[in-house]
Amino acid sequence: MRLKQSLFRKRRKKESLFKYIMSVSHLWLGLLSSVVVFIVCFSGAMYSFKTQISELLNYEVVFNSQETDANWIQPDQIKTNFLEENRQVTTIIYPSDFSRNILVAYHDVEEDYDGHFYIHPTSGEIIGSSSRSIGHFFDLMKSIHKNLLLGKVGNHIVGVSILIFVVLLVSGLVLWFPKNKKQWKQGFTIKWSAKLPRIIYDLHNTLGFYTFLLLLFISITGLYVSYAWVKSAVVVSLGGQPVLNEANAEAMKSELSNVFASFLEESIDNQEEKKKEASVSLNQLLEDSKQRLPYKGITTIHFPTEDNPNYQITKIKQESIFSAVVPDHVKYGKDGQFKKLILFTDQSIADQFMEVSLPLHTGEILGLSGIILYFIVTMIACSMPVTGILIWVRKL
Amino acid sequence: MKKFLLILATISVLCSCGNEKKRRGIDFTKLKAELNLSAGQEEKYDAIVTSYEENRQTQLEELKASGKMSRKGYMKIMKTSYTKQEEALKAFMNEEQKELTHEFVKRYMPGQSDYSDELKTEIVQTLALDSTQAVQYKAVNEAFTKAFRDAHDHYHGNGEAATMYWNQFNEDRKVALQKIFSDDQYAQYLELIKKESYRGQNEKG
Repeated sequence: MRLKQSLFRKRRKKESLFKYIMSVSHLWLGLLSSVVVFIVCFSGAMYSFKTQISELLNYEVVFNSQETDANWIQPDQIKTNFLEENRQVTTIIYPSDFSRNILVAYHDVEEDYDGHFYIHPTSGEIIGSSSRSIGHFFDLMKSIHKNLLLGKVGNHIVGVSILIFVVLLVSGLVLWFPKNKKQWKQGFTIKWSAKLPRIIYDLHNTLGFYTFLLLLFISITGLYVSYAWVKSAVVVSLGGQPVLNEANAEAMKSELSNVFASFLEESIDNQEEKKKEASVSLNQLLEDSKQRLPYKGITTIHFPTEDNPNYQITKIKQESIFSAVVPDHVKYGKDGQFKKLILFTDQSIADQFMEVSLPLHTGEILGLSGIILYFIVTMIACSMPVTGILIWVRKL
Repeated sequence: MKKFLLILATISVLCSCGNEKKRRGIDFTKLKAELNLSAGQEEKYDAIVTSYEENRQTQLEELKASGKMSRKGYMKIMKTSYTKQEEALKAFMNEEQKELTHEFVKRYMPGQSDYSDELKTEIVQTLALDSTQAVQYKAVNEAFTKAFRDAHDHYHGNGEAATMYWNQFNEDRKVALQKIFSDDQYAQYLELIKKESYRGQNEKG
């Protein structure tokens, strides 16, 4: 009976209809989505440190134990060293400083398999490969986060629950909004000296307020991945192309034909490029890319492949704790001729958003500091259903 | 109140214990139903399917453990394994069964959204493309693959949209090929691609 009274409570005196609707919907929707929100937030928080934990497990090969600021081993030397063992280098990743080893991905020509090694940044000595993994655990966390291990049905359950969570964030903010000076103070602080029920209330109310914006952002970027219509709405609102559907098919035809035409032009160019036989100095390419992208960062050299006969050097800035982790690219032909400089900042906002939508959702966009911040915020989101239910149960 | 908490707990357990659908792959049970195998063949068929399935799992586990799981690496394992499995299966089959198996594996090969290499080679040969046309034909196909892959950010997880993008870029491909081929070659091309008319019909996104 008390449960029924609580769920279908009457409007209090002096309570506006708007606040009454917000309050009741906050309770109902919160109860409805609580379990899923808890699971999704918890699994997301667990998954966030995947790269860091994997690197820690392989600490002795990933990190350089004899850290000295000597000269980097040059890419031509790395290529030669690997070729002597019948290994064709496909990618070289130079870290931003000498605290880490260089990662080299290769294709073994004799035994026809792909592998990787970490090598010393100065001597080029092979240190080993990252063989220790708890990939199973992280795969499980990722699947739970995306679909609760329930396939497509789970995808929809998660999607709907996160949509509800967005509504809860907004209604929560409305309910948080203080009426007077005393409540303003209460809304910003947790009174640790008070009794447990008040602390629980403050944890829900105050932490909810502080994490509101970031949680809203994480939820929307999550929905962007889950729902085509959210993706379309976000991309269009940023000035990009909507997702193709029956309604806009005719209008988008010429735009997509232009996209195809630009790829065709590139493919014809690639066919010409494939015919070229030239020996390229990777050292010079790397030097040239440093001049075009003059900042400290992680540098990746991609070697030509069957699909893409160009050299590509990608650089990610690593200058400050909160610098955005976004890539810039320099393309060179098979003969080493400079072809194109693709700066992240030169792309349209819609393209920028699409390129970094995942790191925006995971916090990786701000590097380790972003991941830690997102982890804390997500764990607070995890606590919201718990503290919310405790507040409600006490009122019963 | 207790009832309510019990319901919450039950939902939680259900959510945690469900089995996720396995990764996409070829459904050999479906093929088996079409093959009309004898008892002896059935035994060999099951043994080969199980053995290759286990072998693929082991290879994927190793790839995951290396920390270098990528779409390219995954596809390489799947394609190589399914091609070898097809050969192993065909070793005890009659001509009709071999043909059915080949077509089935070709049709459902993971990651194969464009026409098969086999059909593309047949097109080059049947249309008797000269060296310039062959290079242009390859470039057009590459443009199709890249345009479709590039649109992935738009159709990701949306099969219906993926199919629409596939069909739109395929129309663009036809327009580009019409400029390269003679009228006769183009008519032959349209006829040949009917062999794999199922491509682009049910893209998974």
